[in-house]
Amino acid sequence: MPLVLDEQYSSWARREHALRFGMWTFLASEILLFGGLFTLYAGYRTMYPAAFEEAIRHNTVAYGTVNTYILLTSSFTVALTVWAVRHRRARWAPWLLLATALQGMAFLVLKGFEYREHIKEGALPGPFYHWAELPTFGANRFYTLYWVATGLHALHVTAGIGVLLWMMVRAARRAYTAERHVMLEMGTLYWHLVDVVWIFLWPLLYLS
Amino acid sequence: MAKRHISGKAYVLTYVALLVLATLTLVLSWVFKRSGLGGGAASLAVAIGIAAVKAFLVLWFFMHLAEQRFANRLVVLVSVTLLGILIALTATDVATRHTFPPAPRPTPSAGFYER
Repeated sequence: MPLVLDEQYSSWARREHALRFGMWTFLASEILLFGGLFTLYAGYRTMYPAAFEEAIRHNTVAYGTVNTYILLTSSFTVALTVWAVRHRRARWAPWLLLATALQGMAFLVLKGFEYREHIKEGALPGPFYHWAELPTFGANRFYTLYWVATGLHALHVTAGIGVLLWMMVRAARRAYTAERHVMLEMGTLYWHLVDVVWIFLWPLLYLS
Repeated sequence: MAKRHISGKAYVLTYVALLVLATLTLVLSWVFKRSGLGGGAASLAVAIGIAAVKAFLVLWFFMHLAEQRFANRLVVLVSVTLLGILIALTATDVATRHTFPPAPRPTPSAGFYER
């Protein structure tokens, strides 16, 4: 955080608004990135409704559900980080960020176990699909989308963990103060986006 | 820019609401399956509706849209609206364009699933 205001900004408030607006614009581009996959899902599900429902019933609800609760809780702990910094409890911030990063890792470990089962069954994307239990083209489409969507999401979780750990180091050095913590806010926004995407992936891939 | 920060109580309430809504989604999906209605459009619509409420709570409170300028809300509003149009029109096209082959075509080649 610079101690001197960059000359293009007339006030700290202007600087913070510019940074936040830039972050939201980036998040909008992320929404459209995942949006392409949601659009494909809508199209293929309309074409193969029965195969999609059957494939969903073959996914393990427990994996998706436990991961949902993990991500919701991690969103809460990372939101508490901002609250702690704003309320002069900055010493809590590195611990809350660490807790959030650990939950992200737990999510990835569970996802890994689930991927292992899919690989064993042969529920793989595109031409690699060879699951005898669901030998339909629609199920193939479903699992192709499943792998691309959860894979892209897992990449975002991984990047998010990196951001969290970096912010943890910064927070431990007291880089964020009650007055100046816009960079912390922006980092947490990225983690919340990961949560928001999963909020939609969970029902689409596991429930209905 | 006068700012009123979101209170700690609001964070806790948001978290509790998210847990309740997630559990409700899970219970309703069971109800839909057990009641013989299967998965289907109704179940999907309910689940996506609840997910939209959850996403709004995260955006509004955890992501602090409540305390920010309208410009930031506009970014979300525009991208979500455009995505909604994209999804709705794509699904409508697929559903009403009768030149599409019905499922399960195209037929995969022999041995496609045995590999």
